[in-house]
Amino acid sequence: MKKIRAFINNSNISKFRFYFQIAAFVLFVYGGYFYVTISEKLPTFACPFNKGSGGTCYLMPLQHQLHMTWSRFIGPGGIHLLKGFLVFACFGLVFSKAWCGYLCPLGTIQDWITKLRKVLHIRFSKYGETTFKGLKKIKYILLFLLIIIPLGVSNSLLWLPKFSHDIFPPFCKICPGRIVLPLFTGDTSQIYIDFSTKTAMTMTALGMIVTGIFFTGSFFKKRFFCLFCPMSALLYIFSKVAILRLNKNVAKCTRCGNCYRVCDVGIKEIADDVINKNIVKDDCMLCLKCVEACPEEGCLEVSFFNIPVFMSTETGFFKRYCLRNEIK
Amino acid sequence: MRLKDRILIAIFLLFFAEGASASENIWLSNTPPKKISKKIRHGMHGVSFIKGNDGREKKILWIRSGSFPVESQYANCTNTKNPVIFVCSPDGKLIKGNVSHGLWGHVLTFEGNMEGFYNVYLFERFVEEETLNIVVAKAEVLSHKCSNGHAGMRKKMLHRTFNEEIPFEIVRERIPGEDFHTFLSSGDDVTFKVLLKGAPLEYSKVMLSTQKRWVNNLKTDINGGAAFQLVGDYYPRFKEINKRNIHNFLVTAEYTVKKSGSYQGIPYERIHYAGTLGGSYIPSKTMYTSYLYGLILLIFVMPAVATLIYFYREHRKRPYKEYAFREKD
Ligand code: SF4
Ligand code: SF4
Repeated sequence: MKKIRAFINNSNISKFRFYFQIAAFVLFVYGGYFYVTISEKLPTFACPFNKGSGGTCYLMPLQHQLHMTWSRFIGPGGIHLLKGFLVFACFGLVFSKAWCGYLCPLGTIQDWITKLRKVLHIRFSKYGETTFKGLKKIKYILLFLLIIIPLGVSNSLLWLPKFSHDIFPPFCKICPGRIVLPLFTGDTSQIYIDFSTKTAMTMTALGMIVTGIFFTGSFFKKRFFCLFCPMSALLYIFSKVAILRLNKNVAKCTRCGNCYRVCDVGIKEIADDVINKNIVKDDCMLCLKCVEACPEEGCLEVSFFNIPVFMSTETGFFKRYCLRNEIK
Repeated sequence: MRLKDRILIAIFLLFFAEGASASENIWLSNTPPKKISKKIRHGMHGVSFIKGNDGREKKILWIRSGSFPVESQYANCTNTKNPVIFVCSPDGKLIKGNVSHGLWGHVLTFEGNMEGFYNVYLFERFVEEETLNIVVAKAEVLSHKCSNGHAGMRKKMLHRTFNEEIPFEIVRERIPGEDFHTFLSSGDDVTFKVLLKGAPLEYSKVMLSTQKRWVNNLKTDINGGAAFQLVGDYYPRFKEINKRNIHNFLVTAEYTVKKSGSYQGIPYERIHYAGTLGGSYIPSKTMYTSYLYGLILLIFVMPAVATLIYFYREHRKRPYKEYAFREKD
C-alpha cells in the first residue's frame, strides 16, 4: 500500500491530466455520434449546439427552466427546476471543481492553446492582484444575468416590459463554447450575425467578439476564460462540502509561493492562505498542479471521502521539477 | 360587406360548404381561423392549445378541407358523420380525441401534456361511385417545454406507424440532426414517405402545396419517398423580416388500386386511398443572418486584442536601471 501511495504521490499528474482531458474531450465533443448522452445537467461545457455532444452543459437547461411564468414555478416547472439542480448538485458534490480542470472541453482547448504558445516561445501574461480581484467578479455578474434574463423574458420584472425573446438564452448567445465546439465537428453554422432585430444583432455580434477575445486571451493568459465562467461560480457552491477536496496543512507551509507560480488561473491565496484547511477557491479548477509543485511533505493534499489520494512530497517535487524547467 | 352579399355567402355555404365531397382533401391544421386566433395560444412549432385552470393543455387541430393551406375551409367538412379519431400519445398509449363543433369551430381536441410527438389521425371509410374511399388525415403534434427537460429526446424523435389501424399514411422523414427545437425552414429538403399497410408504396402521387399556392407534384420512388425542397414563400423588405413568421404547407398523397368487394353492404370496384399531412416552416436563416459578417468580426477581434495586449505589455516595461549598493551606506 505504501509503495502504491508513494508511486502516486511521486507521479506526474499533469501528464495523466493531459490524456484524461483528451478522453473527456472526445466523449463530450463526439460522444453524441456514438449515441452517448451522459446527462443533461453536466457541470461542464458539453455544448448542445454541437451536434456530436455527448451530454448537455447545465447552463443551457437552467436558462430554459428559468424561462417560465411565475405560476409555473409552483407547478411542474418548479419541480423540474429543482430536480435539474439536484442532479447538477450531485455532480458538483462528487467531483467539485475537477469538472473544470479535467473534463471541460473549453478548458481543454485553452490548455492546448497554452501549449501552442509555449511552442512558439511567447511569454504568458499574469494579472496584477487588483486586476485579478476585479475581473473575477465578472463570473458572478454573468451568473446573475443568466438567471435574471430568462425570468425577465417570461415575466415582467419590477413592472418593466418583458425582455425580447431574441436575448434568450442569454449566456449561450455569448458563450464561446457555442461557436468553438461545433467547429471540431466541422460545423461552422454558429458563426453568424443575426440581423433580424437589434437585440438579435447585438447578442450574436457579442458572441463573435467574446469568441475572438477567447482565442487571443487564452493564447496570452492561461485559462483566460475560466476567470469569467459562470459555471465555475455555480460549482463553487458545492466545493466547500464536496467529497473531492484540496487540503492544506498550514503548519507545513513555508510560503515559498511555488503553488501560486504554477497555478494557471493565478490564485494567490493558495500560497497566502495559512488559516483554512480546505483550500479550494472559487477560481480553482482542481488541476492539482499546485500539489505537484509544493516541495513540502504532505503540505498540500487531495482527498476523496476524506481519504488522501494525492499529496505533495519532496521526492515528487524533485522528480517533477528539478529534472525539467516546467514553470513557463 | 353589404347585407345582401352576406346572405348570398350564407346560402352558398349552406348548400356547398357543409360537407366535403370525396374529391376534396380533409386535413388537420394547427392554424386557427383568423377571427379567433387571438384567443388561442400558440406553443412551439405553432401548435395551438387551450389551457385549463389546472394548467393542463388541450391541443387543438382544426379539421379543414381543400388543397391549399390558406384557402381551405374551416367548415364542418368530414365526409362521414362519425370519422374515427385515433390519437397516440408519446408513450405509445391510445388516448381520447374529441371532434366537436363549438366556440373554436370544427375541431379535434385531445389532452397533450406529455413530452414528445402525438400522432393524430382522422380516419374515414365510405363508398362513393363504386369506389371505396379510405381517407387518412394525419398530424404530428409536438408537445415540448424546455423547462421539462430533454431526457430521451432522440428516442422520442423516432417515427411510429400503426399498420393495423391506419392502412395509409404519409410520414415526414426527419431532417439531419432534427430534434424538438428544430423548425423546418425554407430551403430545407424534406422527404415524405408514403406507407400502405406499413410498407413503402411506389408510384403514389404526392403533392406539396404551400401557403402562396406553390405546388409540386411527384411520384414516390421505390422506397415510398418523395423529396421536396421547401421553397421560400416569404419575401418582405429586409427591415420587415420576421424570422418567426410561420408558413404552412400541405402534403397530399393518393393511390388507387383495382379491387372489388363490398363495404357495409355497398359494392365497390376499386379502392382509393387519400392521405394528408399538414406542416409548417419558417424563413431560412440565410435571409437574416450573415456568416461572412460573423467571420469578419471574429477574425478582426483576435488581432485587435493581441495588439492591445502588446501595447499594454510595452507600456508596462520599465527602463533598465542599475542599482549599486555600497557596504558603507
Ligand atoms: S508550494 Fe507548498 S509550501 Fe510553498 S507556498 Fe504553496 S503550499 Fe506553501
Ligand atoms: S489552486 Fe491549484 S488546483 Fe486550483 S487551479 Fe490553481 S494550481 Fe490548479
